[in-house]
Amino acid sequence: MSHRSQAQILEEEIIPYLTHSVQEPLRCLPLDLKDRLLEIRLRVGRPVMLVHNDGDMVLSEGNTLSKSEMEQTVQFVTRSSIYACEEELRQGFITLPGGHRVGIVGKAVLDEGRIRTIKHISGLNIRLARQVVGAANPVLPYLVESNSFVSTLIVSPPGCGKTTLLRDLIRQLSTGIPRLKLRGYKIGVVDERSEIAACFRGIQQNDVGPRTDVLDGARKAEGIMLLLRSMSPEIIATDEVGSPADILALEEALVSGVRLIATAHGDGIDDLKQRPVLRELVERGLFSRIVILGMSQGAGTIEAIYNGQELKSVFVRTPIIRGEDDETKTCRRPNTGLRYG
Amino acid sequence: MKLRLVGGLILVFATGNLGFAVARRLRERVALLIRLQGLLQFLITEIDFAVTLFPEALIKVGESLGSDVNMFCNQVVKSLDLGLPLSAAWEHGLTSLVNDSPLQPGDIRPLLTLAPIIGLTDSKDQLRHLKLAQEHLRQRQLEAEQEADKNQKLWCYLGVLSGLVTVLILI
Repeated sequence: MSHRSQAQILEEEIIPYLTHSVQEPLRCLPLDLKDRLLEIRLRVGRPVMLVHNDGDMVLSEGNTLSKSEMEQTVQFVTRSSIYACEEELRQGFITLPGGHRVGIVGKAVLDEGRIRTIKHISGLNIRLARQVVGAANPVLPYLVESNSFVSTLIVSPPGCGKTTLLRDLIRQLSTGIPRLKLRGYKIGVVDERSEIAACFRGIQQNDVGPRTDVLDGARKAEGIMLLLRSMSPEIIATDEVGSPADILALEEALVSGVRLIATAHGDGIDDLKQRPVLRELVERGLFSRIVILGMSQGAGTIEAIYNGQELKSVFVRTPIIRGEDDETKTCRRPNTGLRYG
Repeated sequence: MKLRLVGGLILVFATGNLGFAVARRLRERVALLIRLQGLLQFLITEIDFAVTLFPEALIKVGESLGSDVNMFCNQVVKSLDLGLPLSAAWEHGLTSLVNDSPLQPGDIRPLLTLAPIIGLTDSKDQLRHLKLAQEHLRQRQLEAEQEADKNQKLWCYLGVLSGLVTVLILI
């Protein structure tokens, strides 16, 4: 994969989707700010806000975004084809080429109690995708037993780098890790929210390895069963499990001899134990390892790694800095090594 | 005498041609209105079944219809690539279409009414508007057919006869 600077990515993959009034001030931003940019937030009648590593700022003082500018941006983002983005609108986000995600809010139109679509769009949040190659290096040695990868659950509050860690785990396990004597695994990914592989019209925008099959947009429980039946995976990976149906599907996969990598929202092992559905995961020891991420030493800090059966810590806390292999030199965020998950 | 005969023939040929040209435009107007309905039908298929993105749908549809409709589709896609919103690109394309075609300004009104909606609502709404515009175009086509039936022969005869009358007067 080619590696471009964040400024280049911004210019080529984000700016074309914005109106002129936003394009010009964005182009004029200092390079270091462009490199630290995480989100661009557009709200009707409010100034455009930029979220970066150290906080947020107004893009252009005194200038607010008009309704017609918002409508134009929505047109550009959907390529003038809202009818083709109905499922994405239902989920509240659209994926752009490059894996960038545009979160959408407005007036929700309900159909039998469920969101059918969003109209009168009033806010967009453009999250810049950044794959952190090597993010999984510090945890990988703890996830291997007898030269074999073991089922792992990654737990953290939002924004601590769960998905980034999951994505890099998938990539490395799919490629194979000679230093840990791990061969490349066949991995099936259920990417319900298009966050892991960031598929844009079926094409993966993130590198998830050569032996990875991605089922994009499917519900987790259904997707896991489909992959089990059709793709004979050795590992199944999915993001943010939490419903009873998810747990049943995960169990089914484990019984079939498939190893799992999953993530869940939570604030430590004690928090997991208090959650009705996730408690079951922990108490029944479905996962051999539970990795807890946090923010104590910056985004992506590994707070703990537990042996899933005995719930004993197998790890001493350290921040994820950067990967150790050559690939890590391509990381675009040298400060923390991780971005939002 | 020979010179007069040749001159007379040229005159009759010229006025006859003029009459035939007007009659041909009447027929072409009907044909173009049918092709525009075809354009909408193709768009309905692309939106409803294939869920193709609008610019790609336009390119595909343009390729399968006549050159005038193809030019219109390409014009809209080009304007979109330049960063124009779809409504403006659509209107711009229609203006160019009318300028170089036998269509009357009222013929494209059903298509103009689509400008603020096309591509920008859910598929159910898109289909509703496209079918309505298709129906309006069909009405225009029927009117154009009636006009063509009524006036086509008239223009042909008028062309030839006006030439003959002029020749007779001059002789």
